[in-house]
Amino acid sequence: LVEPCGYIYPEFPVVQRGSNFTATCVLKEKCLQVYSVNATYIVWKTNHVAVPKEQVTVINRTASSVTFTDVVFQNVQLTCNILSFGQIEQNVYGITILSGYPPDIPTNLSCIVNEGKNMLCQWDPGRETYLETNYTLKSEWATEKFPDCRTKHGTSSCMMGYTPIYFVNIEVWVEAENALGNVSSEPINFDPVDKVKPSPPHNLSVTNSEELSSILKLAWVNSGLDSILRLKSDIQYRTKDASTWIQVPLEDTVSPRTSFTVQDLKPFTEYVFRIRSIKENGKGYWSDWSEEASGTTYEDRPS
Amino acid sequence: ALALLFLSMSWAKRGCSSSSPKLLSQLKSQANITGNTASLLEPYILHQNLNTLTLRAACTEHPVAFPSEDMLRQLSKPDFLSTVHATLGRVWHQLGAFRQQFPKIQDFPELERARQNIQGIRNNVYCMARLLHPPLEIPEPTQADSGTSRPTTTAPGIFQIKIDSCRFLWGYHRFMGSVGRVFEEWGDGSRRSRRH
Amino acid sequence: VLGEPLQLTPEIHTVSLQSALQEANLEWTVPTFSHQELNIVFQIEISRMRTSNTIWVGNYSTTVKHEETVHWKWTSDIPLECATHFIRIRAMVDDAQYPPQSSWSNWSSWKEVNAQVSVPPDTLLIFPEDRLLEEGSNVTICLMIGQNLYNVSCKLQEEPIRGEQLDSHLSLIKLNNVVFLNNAGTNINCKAMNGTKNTFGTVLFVSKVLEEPKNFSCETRDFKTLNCLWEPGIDTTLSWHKQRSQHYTLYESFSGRREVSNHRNSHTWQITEDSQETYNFTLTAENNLRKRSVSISFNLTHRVHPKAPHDVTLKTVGATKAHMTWKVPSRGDYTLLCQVELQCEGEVIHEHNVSVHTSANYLFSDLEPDTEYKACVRCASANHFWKWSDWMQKKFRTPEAAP
Repeated sequence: LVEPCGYIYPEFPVVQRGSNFTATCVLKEKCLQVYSVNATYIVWKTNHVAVPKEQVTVINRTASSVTFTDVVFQNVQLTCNILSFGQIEQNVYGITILSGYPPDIPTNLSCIVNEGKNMLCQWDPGRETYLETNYTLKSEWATEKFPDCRTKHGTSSCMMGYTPIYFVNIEVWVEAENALGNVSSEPINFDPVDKVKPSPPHNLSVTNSEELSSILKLAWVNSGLDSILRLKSDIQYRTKDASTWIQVPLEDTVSPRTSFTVQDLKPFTEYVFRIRSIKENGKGYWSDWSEEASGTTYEDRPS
Repeated sequence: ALALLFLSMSWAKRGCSSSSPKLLSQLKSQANITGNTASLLEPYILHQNLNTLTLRAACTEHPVAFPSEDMLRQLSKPDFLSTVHATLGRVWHQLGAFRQQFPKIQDFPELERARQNIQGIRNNVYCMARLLHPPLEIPEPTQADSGTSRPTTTAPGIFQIKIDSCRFLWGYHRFMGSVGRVFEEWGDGSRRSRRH
Repeated sequence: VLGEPLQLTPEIHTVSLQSALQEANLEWTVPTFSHQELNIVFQIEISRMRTSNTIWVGNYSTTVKHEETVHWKWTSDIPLECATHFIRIRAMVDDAQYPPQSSWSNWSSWKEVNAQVSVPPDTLLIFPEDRLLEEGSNVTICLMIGQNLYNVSCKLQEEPIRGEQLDSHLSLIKLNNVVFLNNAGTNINCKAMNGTKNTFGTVLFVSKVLEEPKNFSCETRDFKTLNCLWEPGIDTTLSWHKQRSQHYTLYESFSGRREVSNHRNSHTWQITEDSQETYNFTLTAENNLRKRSVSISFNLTHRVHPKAPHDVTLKTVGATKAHMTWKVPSRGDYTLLCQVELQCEGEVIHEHNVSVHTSANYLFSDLEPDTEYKACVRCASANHFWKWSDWMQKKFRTPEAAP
């Protein structure tokens, strides 16, 4: 490779937008003689367009600098060129100027544990940084550190690489870093069991009652979590052709259960039911709705 | 021992729940899970083909010496916490040795799950100990013999290791059941140390 | 022909034991033997517990050289730890130089073989300990009962198993056609009383029988590597480090190369510059108990599964013609046969075969103006069909006819 006739400093600049930036091109002594030039012959270009002379300062025989104020450009090729023998323009050196912002402090950090999956946390990264910005999700118990969860630029969520342990408070925070700085969010401290989104109840069945034509009995199987967590349910129903759901009062289904009798229904009418569940104390997230199940109330006895 | 417990955790600073009732509720839930033989002993029995009346009996014939419930009840809160912390530390290591019994760790996921839960309990025990601001002199907890119950001269055969492991797990679940019952008696987790 | 009968009384020197394999390795000589070389038949008698209790007699015929030690191995039907055994040998010349002999030599003196272990009074020892064996095989379990123990009863898992009492402290249990339970082994457990109830036991690690690899075949897609595939059959892994998963080795006889595969059902074999055209592969599956092999022979050019054609171009020519060109991954002289298809509204309306070395072209004619078509091309070996490549497709639309 041919040795360049000079260098630009800094070589890998990352500039904060809105600030000023100065680069210096320093020619090698031997090149001055070979090409009969000095720093005054330097022509600065950004993306192949000459920089106005007002922004250029000749520092000495070998060095010339160029200054940009209130930098807004995103990704610019800055080249230092010389007019050899006063007329042939030759490139001496080139750099890429990156500009952007240091990362904002991530906010609105929240986490969810979908049953059977690892914990997923997400956050608001703040303004666009225009720079390669890496986010690292950190998590610790009082007595143990867990593996970091790293995301690439542009994603503001991360799924932990380990199985969540319930009933142990964990401290989670996110660190953001790019070339212009690194910041850390406020930590959140919680028990993963309070961030659970159970799997929906399943095997929902509906049976009518010959004795009472106004009731339908529901039975279902809760998610596997109900062996360690108390879950409450939310039941909705509608007639087959209706579009709006009727809510069974939540206070009627606050205690853990796997069956329920819906009353005050019209006889000989087909109803559709759905059910979902959440931790009994209301912490965490409602599960998705179960598969719908339908049943028809018994005919009224002739009076 | 609590001093020891703190020493071993000197770098630990963030992450403890600051609410004693919450912490106590967590400890009760953990003891409830780990006291349930379905979480580890039953899958082990099935996996090692010990699921016969005779072999189940052999598993519970000579329980491995864990601190008894009576002994745990006699301890002050700090001593109780340090005994639980120390005993579970040994259980955690012993369960680590169980991995040899399986071609791959994935063949017996309950084992790793149990070890994680144990670390979780020890974490909460540590946090509870910090909340209690332990008294000064802390006697050493009784040494829980969490090894095999029979002195063996020659290297035991695999059958004996299976039985000893089974007895160990049986002892561990019983120990956690006792721990859970003692925590139940801690009431609302107030600072009152019952035995001072 | 030599007349006088020879007195060749053998002398046992050593008996070395391999308890894990239940094997006794004998070494003896015939001191009075002065010939250069003679064929001799030896009769070996083995007794158990007492010299009078003969349990095995057999003959072993071999050519003995002057001052040479004879080696012979016996596999016991019961673990050697269970009982003391006694071995003696006698000989008879069985050589053409001699008239048929009618009398054996004198017996050697009894050689005692004692691998028996001492049994603590309150213990029940069970052998073999943690034996690895194949499903369907037989095994004899021996119980060595400590003197303080009584009421000994044993089970194979939950099924009672009865033994044959050899004496008050030794019992043998014969198990035939053992069955695989799971990879953690089948538990033989015994109860014995000595005031308190104790449990003793051993584990039989029954391995599934290693299966012969099925559908073993190799093909090349680029004449640089051979991709070999097979169906491995059941995994014979056992817990407790008793048996790792079986491993697979490929041996190619022309090149003499042998490679152990890192996978259970595939291996990539590098074709070198000087590789031959014909291959003779032997795939061997092996675990601790058994080896299974399968072999295939083929000519490389008969196992070409070409990669899909590339650089497919399609130019319409007027409203009723279209010219398609494409390239194929090639190897010098190798000819591919490419199948060209034209589809219209999902229906194949035209099909044609083209021989190709490196690139080819085809002209579709009699097309409908202003109509969408899909041109497809795939290739296979022209001389020895093995597999088609994947299809390469190109959609195009003929222009409207000029007014």
